[in-house]
Parts: sequence; structure tokens; C-alpha cells
Amino acid sequence: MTANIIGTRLKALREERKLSQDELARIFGFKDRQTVSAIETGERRVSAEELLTAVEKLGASLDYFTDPFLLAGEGRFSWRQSGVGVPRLDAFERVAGRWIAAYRTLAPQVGRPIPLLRRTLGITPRHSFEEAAAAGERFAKEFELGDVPAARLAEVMERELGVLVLMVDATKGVSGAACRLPALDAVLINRREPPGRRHFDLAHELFHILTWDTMPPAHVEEASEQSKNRVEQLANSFASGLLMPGAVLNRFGSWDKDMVRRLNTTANALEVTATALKWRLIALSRLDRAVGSQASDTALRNNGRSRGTGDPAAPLFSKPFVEVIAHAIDHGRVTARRAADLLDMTLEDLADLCAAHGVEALFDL
Amino acid sequence: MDTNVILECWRIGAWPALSSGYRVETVEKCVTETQTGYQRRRAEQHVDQAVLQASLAAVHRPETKELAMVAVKAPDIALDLGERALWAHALTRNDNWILCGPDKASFDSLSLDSFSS
Repeated sequence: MTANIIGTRLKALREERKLSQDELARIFGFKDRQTVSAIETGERRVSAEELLTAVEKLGASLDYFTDPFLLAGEGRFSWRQSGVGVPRLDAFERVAGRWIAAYRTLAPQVGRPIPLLRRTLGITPRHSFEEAAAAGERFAKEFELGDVPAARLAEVMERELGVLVLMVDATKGVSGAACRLPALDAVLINRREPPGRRHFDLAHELFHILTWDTMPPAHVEEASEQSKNRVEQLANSFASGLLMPGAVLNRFGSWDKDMVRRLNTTANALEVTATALKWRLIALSRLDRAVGSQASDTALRNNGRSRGTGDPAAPLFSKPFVEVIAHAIDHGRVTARRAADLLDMTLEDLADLCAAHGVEALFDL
Repeated sequence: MDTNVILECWRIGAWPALSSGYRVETVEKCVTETQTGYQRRRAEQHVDQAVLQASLAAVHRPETKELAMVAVKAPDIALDLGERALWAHALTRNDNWILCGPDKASFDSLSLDSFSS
């Protein structure tokens, strides 16, 4: 994508406008389509005059062809949200797309290549919820997530699967999103949600990333652990199994007595929501449904903690992302001001962001 | 001269001496970026635009074709708007000039060698 950005964008726009290479060749004044093909594949560099012709004749801005921090017709998002209107969602998608595009561009330039291979999960709509949950359990086991799978999930997704995980200040109502690019997967999570919600959303979006080819998620889905959409239900089952494997739950004993308190304390220990834990125990037949219904949503809200007892927000973005930005500035791949523009922050905020992730800010203030 | 350098000179009170001792030029985008709301700094400087422009020997506005030239020569370097405009102007001049800016991205990629053809 890097050096052939102009050719790639030209091809995307040509296809969007439903023009053949022959038609585009005539627009440019080339004698044949082979020249257009060579530009689109990067075999031939476009000249400044030809770039200006493209701007003029195709009615696109210079930035469209040259801004590496732009997802031009690429990137499919699936948003997990509640009550967010389309205009606000589209606006945030454009912003988030720039972060992801920047990572895609800069990471290889600073020695962090995008993964060559992509992992998939063989769960289809024909599978049962129990099979999806079992797949989640197996993921936790095979990737050695340990006794508190939630604590290591993001790290494993980044390191083992090459998924870009970003904790973001999302527009109100957005819980998270999965994003699929041709060569990169990304997950965005609202960093200000309680940890249990963040972890469940992360595991849920992981399911979408792993099953995108066979079960592409909808562009917008309602954020609910009790969704009626089958793909969403399978994602929730997978997330439950991953975050609360049966083997991990074994050490917490039975649930007959003091149920509400035990749900809340166990949920805190596992960094999940008490509500999710309740439904997981019911699905495993370790908690009778009728008994479980006695634990009201109110009693389990915020894992039993009083209102105003908030957990701190997760650090903004992620260490791998911030490292790439910092190294890209130091390697001369992006200016500090451009990086600050991208993240909509001051240079001082950018330095603080680096410090928050233990990354050296390699630029002068 | 790039935006960050103008702002830093202004902050330490060196701008009058610099601009009166040298023929200092910049581009419109950099002037815009010195204004409140565009500086990307926590403690913003109040830079009087009229005073700034009066102290500059010239403020240039590169044409689209000059910006296109920078774009095709260094397509994978993410410059900010001010620096991109600055280089687009500088690299089409025929006289001697010195460009003053803080970023490696600005200098590492746009060496004169890359513009020889």
C-alpha cells in the first residue's frame, strides 16, 4: 500500500466509477490500457502531471490519491452500539478508519510487518451455541489465557493473531467494533466502559474477526448479551466460553448459597460482568435458570458495586499502536504534527500518551 | 520556515531579531497553523497574524501542481499540511534557500537527490 498508494487509489476510484482501463487510458491520453494497468499495479510511477489529470478529470481531491491515512473504499466495519444514529456512526467510522489506515501504513515501515496469514474459526450458523462456547473454551486453553482469560485476551489477539486492538474514546453509545481490511484486522473497544463489558465486547468482536469470511457481521448490531440475531448469539456464546471456561469456573465451587454476592465477587475476579457470568452458569447447567432469575439485574449491575464506583478507563489506544506512531516519527515516516493531527491531540498530549504506555516519545517539544 | 519553528521563536521572544536579521519566508498553511486552535500545543501562543505577515519577507501559496510533485516524489511520507506546502514551494525555487523545520520526516525523505531527474 505504501509506495503505490496513488495507483491503488486510482484503481479503487476507477472501479467505483465503473470505468474500464481502456476508458481511463483515453482520459489520460495514453495509447493503451497497459499503461493504466502498470500504474495501478505499481510497475510505473505516475507523474505529477498525470496526478493532476486524475484530480481534474475524476473530480477527486489530491488528498484522496495521496493521503496514506485514509481508507478509500476499503475496510468493512461492524459496530456494536446502542441508539447511535447513522450520521454520528459514519463520522466516527471515518475517524477510526484513519487510525487503522495509519497503523497499516506505518507498522511495516518501522519493522512491524502486517501478518502474512489470517486465522479463521470453523463455526458456521449451523453450529450450536454449545459448540460456539466450546470453541471459545478451546481458544482460551490453546492460547494459554490462564485463570483469568480476560486479562490476557488483548495481548494474545495482538501478538498471536496480529489483530490491532484499540481502546478508544468512542462516540456515546458505541461499545466497540470489528474492522476488516484486505490485509489487517482491527478491533475497537470503548475504553470507558466497565472492564467486564470491555472484555466481553473484545471476545465478541474476536469471534467476528475469526468468522468474517463465512459469517460477515452486520454493519451495525445492537449491543446486547441477549441478542436475537443468530450470528450475534454465536458470538456471545463464543465470548462466554472464552472468558469463563468451565475448567476456570470449577475452582469457584457451587452456586447454591449466597448467589448474588458470589456472582458479583467471582465476576470481579474474572473481570467479566456478573450478568454474563450468571447466563454462562445457566448455559452450563451449573445454575438453575429459575434460581438464577432471582438475581435481579439491579443486584448484579456494576457487579454489585454502588453507583459512582467506577473503574478507571483503559489506557487510550494500545502499546503496539503507540509504539508504531512513536517509531514512525523517529524514523522520519510521519511528522509529529501529522501524528498529533491524526490522533486529534496536542504534541504534549502525544508525549503523555507515549509515557502512559511506557513508550519513549522520540520527538522534541 | 516551518510552523513549529515560528511558534518556538515567538515563544522565546526571538522572532523580531530573526525576522529582521534574515529574509524569512513561509507558506500560507504555516501561517494558518500558527493561529490559535491550529497549533497542536497545550499552551497556545497568541501570534498576531498581521504582525507575523508584516515581518515575513514573503508568504507563498504553492499551486496544486507543486503539491502534486511532492506527492509523487515522496508518496509514503506523511507530512503535515504546512510542511508539505513548504517543500512544494521550496523544491520549485531556482535560488539558494535554507529550510528550517523540526521533523525528520521532512528532511529524510525530501532530500534533493530524490528530486533529481
